[in-house]
Amino acid sequence: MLKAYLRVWLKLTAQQFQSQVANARGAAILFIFGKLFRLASALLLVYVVVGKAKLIAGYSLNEAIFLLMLFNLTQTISQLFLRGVYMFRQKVVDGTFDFYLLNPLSELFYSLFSFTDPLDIIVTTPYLIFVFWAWVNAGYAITIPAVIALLIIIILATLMVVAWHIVIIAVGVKYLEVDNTVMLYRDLERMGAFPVAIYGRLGENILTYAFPFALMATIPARLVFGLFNPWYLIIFALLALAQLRLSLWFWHRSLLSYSSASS
Amino acid sequence: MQKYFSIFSITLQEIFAYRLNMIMWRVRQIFVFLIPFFIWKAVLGGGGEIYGYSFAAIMTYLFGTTILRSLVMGSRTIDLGWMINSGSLTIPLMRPFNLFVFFFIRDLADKLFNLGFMFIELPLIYLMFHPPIFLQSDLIPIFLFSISLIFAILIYFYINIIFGSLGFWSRDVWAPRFLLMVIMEFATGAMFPLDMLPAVWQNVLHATPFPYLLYAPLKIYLGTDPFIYFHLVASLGWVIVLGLLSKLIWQRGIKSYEAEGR
Repeated sequence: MLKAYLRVWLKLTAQQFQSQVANARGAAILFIFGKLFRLASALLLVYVVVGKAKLIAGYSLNEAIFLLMLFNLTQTISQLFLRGVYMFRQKVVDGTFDFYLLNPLSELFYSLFSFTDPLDIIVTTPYLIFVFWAWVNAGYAITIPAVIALLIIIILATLMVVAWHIVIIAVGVKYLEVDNTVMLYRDLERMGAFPVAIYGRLGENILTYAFPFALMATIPARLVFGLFNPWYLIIFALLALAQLRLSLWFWHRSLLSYSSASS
Repeated sequence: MQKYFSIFSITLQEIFAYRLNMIMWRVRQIFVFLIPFFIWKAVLGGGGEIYGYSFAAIMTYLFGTTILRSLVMGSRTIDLGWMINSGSLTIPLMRPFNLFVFFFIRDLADKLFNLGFMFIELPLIYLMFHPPIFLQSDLIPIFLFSISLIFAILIYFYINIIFGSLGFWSRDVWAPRFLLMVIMEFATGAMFPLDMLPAVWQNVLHATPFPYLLYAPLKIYLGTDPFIYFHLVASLGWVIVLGLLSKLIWQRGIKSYEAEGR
């Protein structure tokens, strides 16, 4: 079964790549440049603020940069396969979602994973290099256990991100609204680029346990700095599974109210 | 005149048609304020100054950019590229009105919608964050700010026409728009006041139209811009240059419009 999903995903991604090559060859360069410019401007903000203030929530400039780079990598990887969310509303409005429901594979698979952008895969490589550069620059040793722990955290964060994306498209099925909900999610997600302690106790707890945003940078950074006990990851694993189960329940509930009015 | 009023009214009805979409859009405008508020609170909340800005001063600036962003950057013209590529531009093209006026009226409707909701949101932001509010009492800065705001609205309108018109030649209008959005987030001064940057960077940025969208109008309102008249002239210059450029690009583009998809 998994093989079938992989085969279809590869086919869909290849088609997406062909479409990009056929329609917008120059756009790829603009897109990559835009992503790098966005990272550079966030880096500049950190330099402007923390460079002058010396510390933010107890973190030095180099530690804050490491945090930003970690966030950037985790955010990109966790969204890598979820581009379908941006097209979802249109698919419901124009009736394409009916065909997703008729397919032998899961409608959720088509809704979320249909539009994987190969460019995202390309930009992940420089982001990974930036993380290792910032890691060394912050003055901490790169060890195999730390790298493995980071990988586990990225997987857990991705599971929680998938759960939230399922909730977003479930709202889309019920209320035909996806675009601003997902952008609101992205606005909140950007809070994870800075140490979550700056958002106060309530904000920190929400970003840590309700959303995956602390897992995207603050927790892995604290782990590297020796300030986080890796055994706590078991709690986050349970939390991620619970969120995934809840989101799937919500998705199935929302499908019950789907009336196929557009087709 | 009646037809333009109808466009205005229909655009507002379109916005209100998808209510959750509209509410989410407005909620986002409040959350935009969250990150900079907490960052600067972490750094300056305990007192002191950075680049001459106290916590109160930086909050006034950020509160101002939040308001200005809704007014200047509220736009329906961002749909232009999609309209060209989907062929739906054909419908307004066949109607008896000036296309630029049509798009500008739609923009004004969007801005009125934003302005209306700001009366609900601003008290909310104030209650949640207690940002210091600076009400300018001197009429001269208010008058100059009004002029600069009109220029900012026109500059943004023409930028959108130019970037939307790329749809005449390219199927992909998203990548250039994404790049524009990323550049504007930084270069308009929305992230932080541009006078926190080294002088060379400031000079380079002031040679582009972007600081005249948010940073320059706000500094004029606050009465802290030492080059008010120079910046007003530069804004007017950009309005003229971008206006002419957008007309030129539009005239070229419309000749290659094939109404694909219709």
